[in-house]
Amino acid sequence: MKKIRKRGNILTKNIIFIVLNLAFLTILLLFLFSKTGSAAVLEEKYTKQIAFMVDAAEPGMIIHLNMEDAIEKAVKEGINPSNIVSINGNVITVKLSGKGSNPKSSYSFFNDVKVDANFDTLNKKEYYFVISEK
Amino acid sequence: MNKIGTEKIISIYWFVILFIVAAAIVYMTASFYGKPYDTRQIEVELLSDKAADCISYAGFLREGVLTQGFNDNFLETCDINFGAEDSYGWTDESEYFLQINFYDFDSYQDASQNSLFEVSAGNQKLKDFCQLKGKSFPICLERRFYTLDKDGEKYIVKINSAVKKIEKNSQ
Amino acid sequence: MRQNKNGQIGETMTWIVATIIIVVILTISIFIASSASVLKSKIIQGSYFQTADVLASKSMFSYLLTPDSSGKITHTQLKEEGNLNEFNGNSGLQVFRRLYQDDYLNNPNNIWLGIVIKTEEKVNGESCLNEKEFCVLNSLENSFFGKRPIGSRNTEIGYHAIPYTSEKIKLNETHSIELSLTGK
Repeated sequence: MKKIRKRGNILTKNIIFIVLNLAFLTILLLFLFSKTGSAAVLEEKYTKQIAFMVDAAEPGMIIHLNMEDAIEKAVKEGINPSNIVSINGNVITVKLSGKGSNPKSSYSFFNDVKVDANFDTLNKKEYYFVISEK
Repeated sequence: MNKIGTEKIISIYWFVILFIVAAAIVYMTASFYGKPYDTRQIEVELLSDKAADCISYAGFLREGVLTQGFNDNFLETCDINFGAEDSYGWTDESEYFLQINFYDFDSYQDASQNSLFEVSAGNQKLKDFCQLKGKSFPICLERRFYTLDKDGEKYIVKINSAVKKIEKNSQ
Repeated sequence: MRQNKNGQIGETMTWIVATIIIVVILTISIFIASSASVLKSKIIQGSYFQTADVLASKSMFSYLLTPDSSGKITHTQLKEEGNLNEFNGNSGLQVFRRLYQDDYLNNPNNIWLGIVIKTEEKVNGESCLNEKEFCVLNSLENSFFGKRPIGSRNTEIGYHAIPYTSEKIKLNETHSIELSLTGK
Protein backbone atom coordinates (compact mmCIF):
# COMPACT_ATOMS: atom_id res chain seq x y z
CA MET A 1 0.00 0.00 0.00
CA LYS A 2 1.22 3.40 -0.88
CA LYS A 3 2.18 5.47 2.19
CA ILE A 4 0.02 8.61 2.45
CA ARG A 5 2.19 11.66 2.95
CA LYS A 6 0.43 13.97 5.35
CA ARG A 7 3.22 16.44 5.88
CA GLY A 8 2.05 19.92 5.13
CA ASN A 9 3.88 22.37 2.93
CA ILE A 10 4.55 25.96 3.92
CA LEU A 11 3.35 27.94 0.96
CA THR A 12 5.86 30.48 -0.35
CA LYS A 13 3.24 33.03 -1.19
CA ASN A 14 1.89 33.01 2.35
CA ILE A 15 5.34 33.68 3.72
CA ILE A 16 5.85 36.58 1.34
CA PHE A 17 2.44 37.92 2.31
CA ILE A 18 3.23 37.82 6.04
CA VAL A 19 6.69 39.31 5.55
CA LEU A 20 5.30 42.19 3.51
CA ASN A 21 2.69 42.86 6.19
CA LEU A 22 5.33 42.87 8.93
CA ALA A 23 7.59 45.15 6.92
CA PHE A 24 4.72 47.55 6.37
CA LEU A 25 3.78 47.60 10.05
CA THR A 26 7.42 48.04 11.08
CA ILE A 27 7.83 51.05 8.83
CA LEU A 28 4.61 52.52 10.21
CA LEU A 29 5.71 52.00 13.82
CA LEU A 30 9.13 53.51 13.11
CA PHE A 31 7.46 56.57 11.69
CA LEU A 32 5.19 56.90 14.73
CA PHE A 33 8.06 56.56 17.20
CA SER A 34 10.15 59.05 15.24
CA LYS A 35 7.34 61.62 15.40
CA THR A 36 6.65 61.20 19.11
CA GLY A 37 10.27 61.61 20.17
CA SER A 38 11.23 64.05 17.48
CA ALA A 39 13.62 66.91 17.89
CA ALA A 40 10.88 69.40 17.01
CA VAL A 41 8.69 68.33 19.95
CA LEU A 42 11.59 68.57 22.40
CA GLU A 43 12.71 71.91 20.99
CA GLU A 44 9.27 73.38 21.53
CA LYS A 45 8.99 71.88 25.02
CA TYR A 46 12.31 73.22 26.29
CA THR A 47 12.05 76.59 24.59
CA LYS A 48 8.79 77.33 26.33
CA GLN A 49 9.84 75.78 29.63
CA ILE A 50 12.99 77.92 29.78
CA ALA A 51 11.10 81.06 28.72
CA PHE A 52 8.58 80.62 31.55
CA MET A 53 11.30 79.81 34.07
CA VAL A 54 12.98 83.08 33.18
CA ASP A 55 9.68 84.97 33.33
CA ALA A 56 9.12 83.73 36.87
CA ALA A 57 12.74 84.31 37.97
CA GLU A 58 14.42 87.30 39.60
CA PRO A 59 17.97 88.63 39.32
CA GLY A 60 20.35 86.69 41.51
CA MET A 61 18.82 83.31 40.79
CA ILE A 62 20.62 80.34 39.24
CA ILE A 63 18.24 77.77 37.80
CA HIS A 64 19.23 74.22 36.93
CA LEU A 65 17.18 72.36 34.34
CA ASN A 66 17.54 68.66 33.57
CA MET A 67 17.65 68.35 29.78
CA GLU A 68 18.97 64.82 29.53
CA ASP A 69 16.64 63.73 26.72
CA ALA A 70 17.35 66.85 24.69
CA ILE A 71 21.12 66.54 25.17
CA GLU A 72 21.04 62.90 24.06
CA LYS A 73 19.04 63.86 20.98
CA ALA A 74 21.40 66.71 20.12
CA VAL A 75 24.48 64.50 20.50
CA LYS A 76 22.92 61.90 18.17
CA GLU A 77 22.25 64.63 15.61
CA GLY A 78 25.83 65.87 15.89
CA ILE A 79 25.07 69.10 17.76
CA ASN A 80 27.55 70.23 20.43
CA PRO A 81 25.66 70.19 23.78
CA SER A 82 27.03 73.64 24.61
CA ASN A 83 25.24 75.02 21.58
CA ILE A 84 21.78 73.61 22.32
CA VAL A 85 20.41 76.66 24.12
CA SER A 86 21.17 80.17 22.93
CA ILE A 87 19.74 83.46 24.12
CA ASN A 88 19.59 86.53 21.94
CA GLY A 89 18.11 89.54 23.72
CA ASN A 90 14.90 88.19 25.19
CA VAL A 91 14.52 85.27 22.77
CA ILE A 92 15.39 81.70 23.73
CA THR A 93 16.37 79.28 20.97
CA VAL A 94 16.79 75.54 21.46
CA LYS A 95 18.46 73.65 18.60
CA LEU A 96 18.52 69.87 18.64
CA SER A 97 19.06 69.04 14.99
CA GLY A 98 20.84 70.48 12.03
CA LYS A 99 17.89 69.90 9.69
CA GLY A 100 16.39 73.21 8.63
CA SER A 101 14.90 75.74 10.98
CA ASN A 102 11.90 75.03 13.17
CA PRO A 103 9.99 78.24 13.93
CA LYS A 104 8.75 76.73 17.19
CA SER A 105 12.31 76.37 18.45
CA SER A 106 12.42 80.04 19.55
CA TYR A 107 10.27 81.79 22.11
CA SER A 108 10.49 85.17 23.78
CA PHE A 109 10.24 85.98 27.48
CA PHE A 110 8.95 89.28 28.88
CA ASN A 111 11.10 89.49 32.02
CA ASP A 112 13.66 92.23 31.30
CA VAL A 113 16.70 90.48 32.78
CA LYS A 114 20.04 89.23 31.51
CA VAL A 115 20.15 85.45 31.16
CA ASP A 116 23.26 83.34 30.64
CA ALA A 117 22.69 79.76 29.54
CA ASN A 118 25.45 77.29 30.41
CA PHE A 119 25.83 73.58 29.75
CA ASP A 120 26.80 71.74 32.95
CA THR A 121 30.02 70.04 31.87
CA LEU A 122 30.29 68.13 35.16
CA ASN A 123 27.16 66.01 35.07
CA LYS A 124 26.45 66.55 31.34
CA LYS A 125 22.68 66.22 31.90
CA GLU A 126 21.73 69.77 32.83
CA TYR A 127 21.79 73.33 31.72
CA TYR A 128 21.99 76.10 34.29
CA PHE A 129 20.74 79.63 33.79
CA VAL A 130 22.18 82.61 35.61
CA ILE A 131 19.68 85.44 35.97
CA SER A 132 21.09 88.91 36.53
CA GLU A 133 20.04 92.53 36.13
CA LYS A 134 20.51 94.16 32.76
CA MET B 1 -10.69 25.34 -11.09
CA ASN B 2 -7.84 27.80 -11.24
CA LYS B 3 -8.30 30.20 -8.25
CA ILE B 4 -4.91 31.93 -8.44
CA GLY B 5 -6.38 35.04 -10.09
CA THR B 6 -8.87 35.66 -7.25
CA GLU B 7 -6.19 35.36 -4.59
CA LYS B 8 -3.90 37.82 -6.40
CA ILE B 9 -6.65 40.45 -6.63
CA ILE B 10 -7.49 40.04 -2.95
CA SER B 11 -3.81 40.36 -1.99
CA ILE B 12 -3.49 43.60 -3.93
CA TYR B 13 -6.73 44.82 -2.39
CA TRP B 14 -5.46 43.88 1.07
CA PHE B 15 -2.40 46.07 0.59
CA VAL B 16 -4.50 48.92 -0.73
CA ILE B 17 -6.59 48.81 2.44
CA LEU B 18 -3.44 48.56 4.54
CA PHE B 19 -2.02 51.58 2.76
CA ILE B 20 -5.21 53.60 3.34
CA VAL B 21 -5.21 52.74 7.06
CA ALA B 22 -1.50 53.57 7.35
CA ALA B 23 -2.05 56.88 5.55
CA ALA B 24 -4.84 57.77 7.97
CA ILE B 25 -2.63 56.92 10.98
CA VAL B 26 0.22 58.99 9.53
CA TYR B 27 -2.14 61.91 8.93
CA MET B 28 -3.53 61.77 12.48
CA THR B 29 -0.05 61.54 13.99
CA ALA B 30 1.36 64.37 11.89
CA SER B 31 -1.73 66.43 12.64
CA PHE B 32 -1.41 65.96 16.40
CA TYR B 33 2.36 66.34 16.73
CA GLY B 34 2.50 69.10 14.15
CA LYS B 35 0.34 71.36 16.29
CA PRO B 36 2.08 73.32 19.02
CA TYR B 37 1.37 73.16 22.73
CA ASP B 38 -0.73 76.09 23.90
CA THR B 39 1.05 77.47 26.95
CA ARG B 40 -0.40 80.97 26.92
CA GLN B 41 -2.49 80.38 30.03
CA ILE B 42 0.71 79.97 32.02
CA GLU B 43 2.33 82.93 30.30
CA VAL B 44 -0.58 85.29 30.92
CA GLU B 45 -0.66 84.31 34.62
CA LEU B 46 3.08 84.95 34.92
CA LEU B 47 2.61 88.37 33.31
CA SER B 48 -0.18 89.21 35.74
CA ASP B 49 1.93 88.09 38.72
CA LYS B 50 4.92 90.10 37.49
CA ALA B 51 2.81 93.25 37.23
CA ALA B 52 1.37 92.66 40.71
CA ASP B 53 4.85 92.21 42.18
CA CYS B 54 5.87 95.50 40.62
CA ILE B 55 2.94 97.41 42.08
CA SER B 56 2.73 96.00 45.55
CA TYR B 57 5.37 94.72 47.95
CA ALA B 58 4.98 93.41 51.51
CA GLY B 59 1.33 94.42 51.57
CA PHE B 60 1.79 98.03 50.47
CA LEU B 61 1.73 99.91 47.18
CA ARG B 62 5.23 100.77 46.05
CA GLU B 63 6.25 104.42 46.11
CA GLY B 64 5.32 106.44 43.05
CA VAL B 65 2.86 103.94 41.60
CA LEU B 66 -0.09 106.30 41.43
CA THR B 67 1.82 108.96 39.46
CA GLN B 68 1.95 109.87 35.78
CA GLY B 69 5.67 109.09 35.77
CA PHE B 70 4.91 105.48 36.62
CA ASN B 71 2.51 105.24 33.70
CA ASP B 72 5.03 106.75 31.28
CA ASN B 73 7.87 104.42 32.28
CA PHE B 74 5.78 101.47 33.37
CA LEU B 75 7.61 98.75 31.42
CA GLU B 76 11.12 99.91 32.37
CA THR B 77 10.17 100.40 36.01
CA CYS B 78 8.66 96.93 36.21
CA ASP B 79 11.46 95.26 34.19
CA ILE B 80 9.08 94.06 31.52
CA ASN B 81 10.12 93.73 27.89
CA PHE B 82 7.38 93.22 25.29
CA GLY B 83 9.83 92.57 22.44
CA ALA B 84 9.37 89.27 20.62
CA GLU B 85 11.18 87.13 18.07
CA ASP B 86 11.07 88.19 14.44
CA SER B 87 8.62 85.54 13.27
CA TYR B 88 5.17 85.87 11.76
CA GLY B 89 5.41 89.68 11.93
CA TRP B 90 5.59 89.70 15.71
CA THR B 91 7.95 92.67 15.74
CA ASP B 92 5.37 94.87 13.95
CA GLU B 93 2.77 94.79 16.72
CA SER B 94 3.26 93.70 20.29
CA GLU B 95 2.04 90.22 21.21
CA TYR B 96 1.26 91.34 24.77
CA PHE B 97 -1.10 93.69 26.53
CA LEU B 98 -1.18 94.78 30.15
CA GLN B 99 -3.60 97.15 31.88
CA ILE B 100 -3.80 97.98 35.57
CA ASN B 101 -6.68 99.88 37.15
CA PHE B 102 -6.84 101.17 40.71
CA TYR B 103 -10.19 101.50 42.52
CA ASP B 104 -11.18 102.81 45.91
CA PHE B 105 -11.82 99.78 48.10
CA ASP B 106 -14.94 101.02 49.88
CA SER B 107 -16.79 102.19 46.78
CA TYR B 108 -15.72 99.35 44.46
CA GLN B 109 -18.74 97.58 42.98
CA ASP B 110 -17.50 95.95 39.80
CA ALA B 111 -15.06 96.44 36.98
CA SER B 112 -17.39 98.61 34.93
CA GLN B 113 -17.00 101.67 37.16
CA ASN B 114 -14.36 104.31 36.48
CA SER B 115 -11.01 103.74 38.09
CA LEU B 116 -9.00 106.23 40.11
CA PHE B 117 -5.89 105.60 38.03
CA GLU B 118 -4.94 103.51 35.02
CA VAL B 119 -1.68 102.20 33.62
CA SER B 120 -1.41 100.30 30.37
CA ALA B 121 1.21 99.03 27.91
CA GLY B 122 1.46 96.84 24.85
CA ASN B 123 -0.97 96.18 22.01
CA GLN B 124 -4.28 97.86 22.96
CA LYS B 125 -6.14 95.98 20.22
CA LEU B 126 -5.77 92.69 22.07
CA LYS B 127 -8.16 93.89 24.76
CA ASP B 128 -11.01 94.05 22.25
CA PHE B 129 -10.65 90.34 21.51
CA CYS B 130 -10.78 89.26 25.13
CA GLN B 131 -14.50 88.49 25.05
CA LEU B 132 -14.01 86.08 22.15
CA LYS B 133 -12.82 82.50 22.53
CA GLY B 134 -11.18 80.48 19.82
CA LYS B 135 -7.82 79.41 18.50
CA SER B 136 -7.31 82.63 16.54
CA PHE B 137 -7.82 84.92 19.52
CA PRO B 138 -5.48 85.99 22.31
CA ILE B 139 -5.67 84.51 25.79
CA CYS B 140 -6.74 87.07 28.39
CA LEU B 141 -6.80 87.09 32.15
CA GLU B 142 -8.43 89.47 34.62
CA ARG B 143 -7.38 89.23 38.28
CA ARG B 144 -7.78 91.52 41.25
CA PHE B 145 -6.08 92.02 44.56
CA TYR B 146 -6.37 94.21 47.62
CA THR B 147 -3.62 96.52 48.82
CA LEU B 148 -2.91 99.52 51.04
CA ASP B 149 -0.74 102.55 50.67
CA LYS B 150 1.51 103.87 53.44
CA ASP B 151 -1.23 106.22 54.64
CA GLY B 152 -3.62 103.33 55.18
CA GLU B 153 -5.77 104.08 52.12
CA LYS B 154 -7.28 100.88 50.72
CA TYR B 155 -7.35 99.97 47.04
CA ILE B 156 -8.58 97.23 44.75
CA VAL B 157 -6.14 96.70 41.90
CA LYS B 158 -7.43 95.04 38.74
CA ILE B 159 -4.91 93.60 36.29
CA ASN B 160 -5.92 92.74 32.73
CA SER B 161 -3.26 90.83 30.82
CA ALA B 162 -3.34 89.32 27.33
CA VAL B 163 -0.97 87.21 25.24
CA LYS B 164 -1.47 86.66 21.51
CA LYS B 165 1.38 84.51 20.05
CA ILE B 166 -1.18 82.48 18.14
CA GLU B 167 1.16 80.96 15.56
CA LYS B 168 3.33 79.28 18.18
CA ASN B 169 0.54 78.16 20.46
CA SER B 170 -2.66 77.26 18.71
CA GLN B 171 -2.07 76.95 14.96
CA MET C 1 -37.68 18.36 4.85
CA ARG C 2 -37.30 21.82 3.51
CA GLN C 3 -33.94 22.40 1.99
CA ASN C 4 -32.08 25.61 2.49
CA LYS C 5 -31.22 26.79 -0.96
CA ASN C 6 -29.65 30.12 -0.01
CA GLY C 7 -26.39 30.51 -1.83
CA GLN C 8 -23.24 31.33 -0.02
CA ILE C 9 -22.45 35.05 -0.27
CA GLY C 10 -19.31 35.55 -2.29
CA GLU C 11 -16.10 36.64 -0.70
CA THR C 12 -16.37 39.94 -2.57
CA MET C 13 -19.38 40.99 -0.51
CA THR C 14 -17.45 40.25 2.68
CA TRP C 15 -14.66 42.53 1.51
CA ILE C 16 -17.10 45.27 0.58
CA VAL C 17 -18.67 45.23 4.03
CA ALA C 18 -15.20 45.16 5.62
CA THR C 19 -14.14 48.13 3.49
CA ILE C 20 -17.17 50.14 4.55
CA ILE C 21 -16.49 49.37 8.22
CA ILE C 22 -12.82 50.34 7.85
CA VAL C 23 -13.67 53.60 6.08
CA VAL C 24 -16.26 54.54 8.73
CA ILE C 25 -13.85 53.81 11.60
CA LEU C 26 -11.08 55.77 9.89
CA THR C 27 -13.35 58.74 9.27
CA ILE C 28 -14.41 58.83 12.92
CA SER C 29 -10.77 58.52 14.07
CA ILE C 30 -9.57 61.32 11.80
CA PHE C 31 -12.43 63.50 12.98
CA ILE C 32 -11.60 62.85 16.64
CA ALA C 33 -7.87 63.42 16.05
CA SER C 34 -8.54 66.81 14.49
CA SER C 35 -11.23 67.86 16.91
CA ALA C 36 -10.93 70.34 19.74
CA SER C 37 -11.32 67.73 22.48
CA VAL C 38 -8.07 66.03 21.56
CA LEU C 39 -6.28 69.27 20.92
CA LYS C 40 -7.33 70.46 24.36
CA SER C 41 -4.72 68.05 25.66
CA LYS C 42 -2.20 70.36 24.02
CA ILE C 43 -3.32 73.25 26.20
CA ILE C 44 -0.89 73.34 29.09
CA GLN C 45 -2.23 74.75 32.31
CA GLY C 46 0.51 74.04 34.80
CA SER C 47 -0.04 71.60 37.64
CA TYR C 48 -3.48 70.10 37.98
CA PHE C 49 -3.83 71.35 41.53
CA GLN C 50 -2.71 74.96 41.71
CA THR C 51 -0.70 75.27 44.90
CA ALA C 52 -0.47 79.05 45.18
CA ASP C 53 -2.43 82.13 44.22
CA VAL C 54 0.02 85.02 44.14
CA LEU C 55 -2.60 87.76 44.04
CA ALA C 56 -4.68 86.22 46.82
CA SER C 57 -1.51 86.00 48.92
CA LYS C 58 -0.80 89.68 48.30
CA SER C 59 -4.34 90.49 49.36
CA MET C 60 -3.78 88.42 52.50
CA PHE C 61 -0.66 90.39 53.47
CA SER C 62 -2.46 93.69 52.94
CA TYR C 63 -5.50 92.44 54.86
CA LEU C 64 -3.33 91.60 57.87
CA LEU C 65 -1.80 95.08 57.78
CA THR C 66 -5.17 96.83 57.62
CA PRO C 67 -5.71 98.92 60.78
CA ASP C 68 -9.03 99.37 62.58
CA SER C 69 -10.25 102.74 63.86
CA SER C 70 -7.89 102.56 66.85
CA GLY C 71 -4.89 101.93 64.59
CA LYS C 72 -4.41 98.30 65.61
CA ILE C 73 -3.59 96.16 62.58
CA THR C 74 -5.57 93.00 61.81
CA HIS C 75 -2.62 90.68 62.55
CA THR C 76 -2.37 92.04 66.10
CA GLN C 77 -6.14 91.83 66.58
CA LEU C 78 -6.14 88.16 65.57
CA LYS C 79 -3.13 87.40 67.73
CA GLU C 80 -4.71 88.97 70.80
CA GLU C 81 -8.31 87.85 70.34
CA GLY C 82 -7.75 84.37 68.90
CA ASN C 83 -10.49 84.54 66.26
CA LEU C 84 -12.12 86.93 63.78
CA ASN C 85 -14.00 89.93 65.21
CA GLU C 86 -16.59 92.28 63.74
CA PHE C 87 -14.01 94.51 62.04
CA ASN C 88 -11.62 91.99 60.54
CA GLY C 89 -14.35 89.43 59.84
CA ASN C 90 -16.39 91.82 57.73
CA SER C 91 -13.24 93.23 56.20
CA GLY C 92 -12.20 89.69 55.26
CA LEU C 93 -15.56 89.05 53.59
CA GLN C 94 -15.23 92.31 51.66
CA VAL C 95 -11.75 91.46 50.48
CA PHE C 96 -11.75 87.73 49.82
CA ARG C 97 -15.32 86.79 48.91
CA ARG C 98 -15.79 89.91 46.82
CA LEU C 99 -12.53 89.53 44.90
CA TYR C 100 -12.09 85.77 44.58
CA GLN C 101 -15.47 84.07 44.66
CA ASP C 102 -15.74 84.28 40.84
CA ASP C 103 -12.32 82.73 40.43
CA TYR C 104 -13.17 79.75 42.60
CA LEU C 105 -16.26 78.27 41.00
CA ASN C 106 -18.45 81.21 42.13
CA ASN C 107 -19.22 79.39 45.37
CA PRO C 108 -18.90 81.51 48.54
CA ASN C 109 -18.17 78.37 50.57
CA ASN C 110 -14.99 77.87 48.55
CA ILE C 111 -13.43 80.92 50.22
CA TRP C 112 -12.56 80.34 53.87
CA LEU C 113 -10.63 82.55 56.25
CA GLY C 114 -10.02 81.55 59.82
CA ILE C 115 -7.73 80.32 62.54
CA VAL C 116 -5.96 76.98 62.27
CA ILE C 117 -4.23 75.33 65.23
CA LYS C 118 -1.35 72.93 65.06
CA THR C 119 -1.76 69.87 67.24
CA GLU C 120 0.88 67.41 68.42
CA GLU C 121 -0.78 64.41 66.87
CA LYS C 122 -0.75 62.73 63.51
CA VAL C 123 -3.97 61.57 61.81
CA ASN C 124 -3.57 58.14 63.41
CA GLY C 125 -3.25 59.62 66.91
CA GLU C 126 0.49 59.08 67.27
CA SER C 127 2.79 61.88 68.36
CA CYS C 128 4.17 64.02 65.54
CA LEU C 129 6.90 65.78 67.53
CA ASN C 130 9.64 64.25 65.38
CA GLU C 131 7.75 64.76 62.13
CA LYS C 132 6.10 68.15 62.52
CA GLU C 133 4.93 68.22 58.92
CA PHE C 134 2.48 65.41 59.69
CA CYS C 135 0.84 67.19 62.66
CA VAL C 136 -2.91 67.55 62.19
CA LEU C 137 -4.31 71.07 61.84
CA ASN C 138 -7.51 71.83 63.74
CA SER C 139 -9.54 74.89 62.89
CA LEU C 140 -11.84 77.34 64.64
CA GLU C 141 -15.24 78.01 63.15
CA ASN C 142 -16.19 81.69 62.84
CA SER C 143 -19.46 83.48 62.15
CA PHE C 144 -18.18 85.07 58.92
CA PHE C 145 -16.79 82.16 56.94
CA GLY C 146 -18.16 79.19 58.85
CA LYS C 147 -16.27 75.93 59.18
CA ARG C 148 -13.07 75.07 57.36
CA PRO C 149 -13.97 73.05 54.23
CA ILE C 150 -14.05 69.27 54.57
CA GLY C 151 -11.40 67.43 52.57
CA SER C 152 -8.93 70.27 52.61
CA ARG C 153 -5.37 69.61 53.57
CA ASN C 154 -5.35 68.67 57.25
CA THR C 155 -1.60 68.48 57.78
CA GLU C 156 1.25 70.62 56.54
CA ILE C 157 2.03 68.22 53.72
CA GLY C 158 -1.10 66.13 53.74
CA TYR C 159 -2.98 65.00 50.71
CA HIS C 160 -5.32 67.16 48.67
CA ALA C 161 -8.73 65.60 48.52
CA ILE C 162 -9.84 68.50 46.36
CA PRO C 163 -8.09 71.24 44.38
CA TYR C 164 -6.99 73.65 47.08
CA THR C 165 -4.77 76.69 47.48
CA SER C 166 -3.93 78.29 50.78
CA GLU C 167 -1.89 80.98 52.46
CA LYS C 168 -1.08 80.67 56.15
CA ILE C 169 0.45 83.38 58.28
CA LYS C 170 1.73 82.56 61.75
CA LEU C 171 0.19 84.31 64.75
CA ASN C 172 2.04 82.41 67.46
CA GLU C 173 3.63 78.99 68.03
CA THR C 174 0.41 77.04 67.48
CA HIS C 175 -2.08 79.42 65.85
CA SER C 176 -2.04 80.68 62.26
CA ILE C 177 -4.51 82.62 60.15
CA GLU C 178 -5.31 80.70 56.99
CA LEU C 179 -6.94 81.71 53.72
CA SER C 180 -8.23 78.63 51.96
CA LEU C 181 -9.36 78.76 48.31
CA THR C 182 -10.99 75.63 46.98
CA GLY C 183 -11.76 74.37 43.55
CA LYS C 184 -9.19 75.62 41.00
